[in-house]
Amino acid sequence: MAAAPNAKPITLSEEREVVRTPLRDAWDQFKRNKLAVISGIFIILLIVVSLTADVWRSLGTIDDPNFQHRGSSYADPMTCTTDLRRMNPSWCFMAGTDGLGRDLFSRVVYGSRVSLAVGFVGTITSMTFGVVYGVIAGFYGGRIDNLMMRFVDFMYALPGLPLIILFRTFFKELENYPEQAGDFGRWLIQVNRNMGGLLFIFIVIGLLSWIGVARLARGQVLSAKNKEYVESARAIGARNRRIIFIHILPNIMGPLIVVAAASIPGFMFTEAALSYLGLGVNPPTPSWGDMINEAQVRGFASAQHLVIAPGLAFSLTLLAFNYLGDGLRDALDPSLRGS
Amino acid sequence: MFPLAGLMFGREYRAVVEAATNPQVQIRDAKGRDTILQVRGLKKHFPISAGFIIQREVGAIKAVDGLDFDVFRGETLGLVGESGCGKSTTGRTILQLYRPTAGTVNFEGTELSHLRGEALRKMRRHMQMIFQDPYASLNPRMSVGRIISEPLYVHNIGTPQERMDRVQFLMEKVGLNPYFVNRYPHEFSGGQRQRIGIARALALSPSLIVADEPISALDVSIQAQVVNLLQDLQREFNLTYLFIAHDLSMVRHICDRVAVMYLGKIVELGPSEEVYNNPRHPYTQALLSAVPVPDPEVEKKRQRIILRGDVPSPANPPVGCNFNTRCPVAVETCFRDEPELKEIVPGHWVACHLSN
Repeated sequence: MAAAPNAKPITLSEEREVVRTPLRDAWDQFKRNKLAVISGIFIILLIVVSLTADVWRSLGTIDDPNFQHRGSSYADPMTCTTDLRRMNPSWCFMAGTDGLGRDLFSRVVYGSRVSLAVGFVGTITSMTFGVVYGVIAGFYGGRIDNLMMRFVDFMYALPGLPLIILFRTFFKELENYPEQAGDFGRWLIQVNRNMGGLLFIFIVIGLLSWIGVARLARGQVLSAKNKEYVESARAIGARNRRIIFIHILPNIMGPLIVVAAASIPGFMFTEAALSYLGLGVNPPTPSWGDMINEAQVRGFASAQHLVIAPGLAFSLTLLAFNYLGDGLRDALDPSLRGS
Repeated sequence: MFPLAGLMFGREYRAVVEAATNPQVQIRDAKGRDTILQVRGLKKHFPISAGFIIQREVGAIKAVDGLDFDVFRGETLGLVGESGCGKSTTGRTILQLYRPTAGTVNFEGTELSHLRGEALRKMRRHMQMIFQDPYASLNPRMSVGRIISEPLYVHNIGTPQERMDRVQFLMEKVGLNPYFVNRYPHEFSGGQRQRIGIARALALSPSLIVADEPISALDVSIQAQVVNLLQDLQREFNLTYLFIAHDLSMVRHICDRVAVMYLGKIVELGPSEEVYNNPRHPYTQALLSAVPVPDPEVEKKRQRIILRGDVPSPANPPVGCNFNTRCPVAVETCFRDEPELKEIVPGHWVACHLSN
């Protein structure tokens, strides 16, 4: 039964009406979860707004977040009575101003940059280190695995938040004495200053967050490693690199992405907690945690609007990321569905 | 033999394959048969370790404990035995998916147990494996085309178009519609998936295929189809099979010779008809007496030999003959000396003190 001599050669791309790839299945499943889709749209909008904040400012829709309007401290939402030369009158003080006369709405918009940056950079750092660490430990196994995981156990035993606060305090002090740091330290401090204090927050958060990912990745690799298709790849003669990147990683990506999406609000929360404790970004940089802290310090009993704008933005964002994470989990890791 | 052979790869590649598949050393036994695989004293022990942080080895599971056998070119050697007797471990150890604890595996004149890294990787082209579970042995994230062409890709053979031609050819050979080349494994039934696995094993034109219970996960109606396919392919491509199974009647149907394993050792080895009609080892006799006969008259009279007890733990096999704890005819020697695998009749090997 030889092939028909004039049979059309088959190519990978054409001729198939619908290719049901695992990714496409996941996407169809994701689309079914309305809440997750809405959350995804919300998050995309949030990212767009935070990236284009400067454009909105140049249009006069929002204000310079650090400009102090004279005579407008604690202005109520929607007041338009004060010094408004910098904004279009119709957009003035949608959320009121804070004690220094800064427009709260503009600060919330700019504050989203800090939250999103911390969320994404924290996740990317922890995923990168954690996955590389976990895959090496899980794949090579034996003594290497034992050593690497004992180190992870050690890190796990350290209390997270106190350690973060400790490091953060250390870095805050370091910023005050750049002359005592070496060349590299001075350079770091300079970069950190230009980033409004974000760099050291990234470092502090990244220090501990990868260990959970490393454990998860290792466990996933261990279970994937013993699957028959990995053994068949070895029997074919595939190299370790190919086995890891083609056969193991794509099959453990689902749970990892789910954890990554779920960890974003955690990082935002850590940043907000640090800011709330006064250990967050450097003062003029707007951050949601910082604004909530300020609201409390300055007494929101008399000016409730101080906490409403940042609090609402923060809760909505966390909620959206959590629903998105749930949707991704259902779509990518069906074994966990409903848990 | 096959008109599309040249089309499949192009001349250069065929020359390379021919050079590589032609053995430098041909091992022939006394009767001049061409031995493709020579296994001597093969052992695979899995260590049992205990201890906190500092791991100590406290024992070993003797999954395979000293095997000697040859596989001749073009034949099908069946490896049968009950669960846990080391059949699958034997297959995997021969392919060096597990490294042997001791012993030699000589494949077409090359000693595999000494090969490392790149040399071993290159050798894998000539020996392939078909797996038991067609649901687990195909990467769910790869399309059928990528799965079947992966061996070619891994060994850097052919251009992408040549690989696709080869995939089409193989899919037709194993009875799959080449139109499904872009589908994913979860869209196929068990039998179709097993065909994909077979096509993948054939992609590199190997000379030896270890089939690890290739049909036991399939429906009975599909089993026959897959077995017939394997036989057709063997005839067409001059394949040699090491066929691991526990279905005795299926083994009788397709195997030229049969090796019966018990607790990591071969207890009987010989031509299928000889072993089935004239079993010498009490374990083989018990095993064969369990096969139902599709004839009610015969079935009524059939004497079953019921073995007492369980298979001993391979971590702590009995002294003397492995089988002495369950053997109905064991004598004193069986508890003292280990029987050797001896050739009772030419070609028929038995490891039993009582068989001479």
